[in-house]
Amino acid sequence: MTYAKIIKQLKKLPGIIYGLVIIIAFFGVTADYFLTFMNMMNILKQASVLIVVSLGMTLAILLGKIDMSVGSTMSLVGVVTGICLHKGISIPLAICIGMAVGSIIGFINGYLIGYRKFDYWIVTFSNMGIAQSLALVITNGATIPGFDSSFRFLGDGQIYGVPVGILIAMAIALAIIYLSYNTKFGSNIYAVGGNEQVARYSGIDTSKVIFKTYILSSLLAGFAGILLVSKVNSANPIAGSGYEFDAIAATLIGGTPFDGGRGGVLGTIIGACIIATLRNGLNMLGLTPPIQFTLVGFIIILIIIFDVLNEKYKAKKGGAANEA
Amino acid sequence: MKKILTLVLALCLVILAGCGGGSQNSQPTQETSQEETNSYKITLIVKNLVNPMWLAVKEGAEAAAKEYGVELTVLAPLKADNNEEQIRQVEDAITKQADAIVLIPADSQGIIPAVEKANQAGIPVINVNTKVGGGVTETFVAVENYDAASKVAEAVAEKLGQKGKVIILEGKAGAQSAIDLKQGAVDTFAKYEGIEIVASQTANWNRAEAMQVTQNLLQAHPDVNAIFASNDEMAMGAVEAVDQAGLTGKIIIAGLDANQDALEAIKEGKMTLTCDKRGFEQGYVGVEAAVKVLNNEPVDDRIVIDTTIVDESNVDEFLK
Repeated sequence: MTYAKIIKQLKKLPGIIYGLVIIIAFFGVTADYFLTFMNMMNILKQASVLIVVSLGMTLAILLGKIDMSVGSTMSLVGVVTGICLHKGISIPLAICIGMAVGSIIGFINGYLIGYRKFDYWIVTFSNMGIAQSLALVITNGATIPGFDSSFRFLGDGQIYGVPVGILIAMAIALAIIYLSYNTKFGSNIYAVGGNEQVARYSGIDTSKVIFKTYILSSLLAGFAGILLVSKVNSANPIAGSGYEFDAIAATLIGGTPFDGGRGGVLGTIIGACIIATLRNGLNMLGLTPPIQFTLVGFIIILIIIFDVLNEKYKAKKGGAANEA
Repeated sequence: MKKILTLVLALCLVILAGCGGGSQNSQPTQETSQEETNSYKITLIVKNLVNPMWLAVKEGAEAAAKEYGVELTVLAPLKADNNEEQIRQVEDAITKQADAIVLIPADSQGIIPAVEKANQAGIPVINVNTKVGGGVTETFVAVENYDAASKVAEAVAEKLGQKGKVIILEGKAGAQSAIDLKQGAVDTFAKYEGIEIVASQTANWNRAEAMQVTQNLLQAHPDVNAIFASNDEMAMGAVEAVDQAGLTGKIIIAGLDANQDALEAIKEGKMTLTCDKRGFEQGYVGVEAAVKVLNNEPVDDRIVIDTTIVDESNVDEFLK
């Protein structure tokens, strides 16, 4: 049953997977050294931070909402963890303290949106600013450099040539895939995103679902922030800024539209890989970066066109178009 | 289902065709010498491509690449001054098996892991403009920020007749270049008994912020005689603030970098002087040093680029 579910989910994403394959094929032909083991590992490593933060964003978007605070939560958790490490606190404890601070952002988001019915844009936008400014205040705007090799192992180490960051991102991704496709909480997220009122009438505690999702989103963002610090061996107070947009892009490319209740985290993982592959490939071709924005935007538009056409096609076929 | 699949494939091909077109359009950034079959592949990574300074570095590097028949790739973070992207670009250059990397780090400390990776891969790193905090680099090509600031402060003191009140606009807190520039100015002004520094504040290299800071400081110190800004962007902000206060021409404004709009302001008499840090030269010498390293020729650990003071007497030579 669960296996069938995953297969069913996979069948919903052909366009995206083929898109990734075509992009890889294109760069494989045009860019030297693109199709090497080292470069593939490079791409996955570069995608790993984005995958982790995008998972949380996808859950929020599945709710039919959004979490704009993930980028600055990354920065905040990163610098808090960095400061703790520099104060000589052990690695697990420093990570826990950082995550705890990050979860406060999620707690505020979840409480105000879930229980107080505040507008999710306003709340997460406000927290985006608050988390960003806190990160700047506690560091005084400066970068915190240089950490222990054991901490750097998280984001920069290797096991048999495979970067540890990828393994961690994969483990987290598997956990979230399981959570969203195979648990009651997961199906509740889809139900709330599909129609919040119907979900409430059918006995789902929608406030609690929203609350938990936002906390999960901030925890994932926080962990992504820690991975990033470990990867670049320094904690910068604005390191995460802009990640919220990349996470939205990965989610949309992955086939989870803004209206919620449709799509899923599997697509998002592929979406994040597409973004990382495009950037890597364009760098390998020696293209100046500004064109990269255009291409990512272009692909999102194409995916949405595909999404709309797909819905129309299904409706025409007379099948149940709305499977959410 | 098949129809949709075909459609997706077609659409993807359209994107990729567009992408391929893009790669042709941007050929000018890749200076390729046809004659030399095994020319060196050098990757230049700058902080961003929106500040005139780094565009000048890029032009200089391209000129040197043409001169020495080098295949040059210029990369810059999409988000200006983003350390993580610069690391990614160094990694990509390593994978692409570049022969040498010419690097201007946005974050002296944050870039260290990338430099260490290049060291492990045996790819020489030429450091330009802003010092890398660790790892092994072949040489450091840059102006002495301390000396450049001293030179500018000296010129300001001379224009002031060796007495007056001065405001300093600092660069981003914590950045080594900001510290050196400020120290050069402070030490130089201290040599003159008649000169007093009444305020020294940061405006984060930013024009809009410098305008605000200057407006506030003009309220607090209306009798200021000169403003020393650590770069031209901030000097231009000060120019704007002084202009709005109706004090143009009464306050000496000095900056560094010799950006085009600062030069025009000097020409118009709104700004007093700036210092040409010769970005073109920095880029040129950076690539030249990379070629020397690859040819196993000796290169100094430190290559100092000379600076020139630009004021109304010689501004025409620098205006494009």
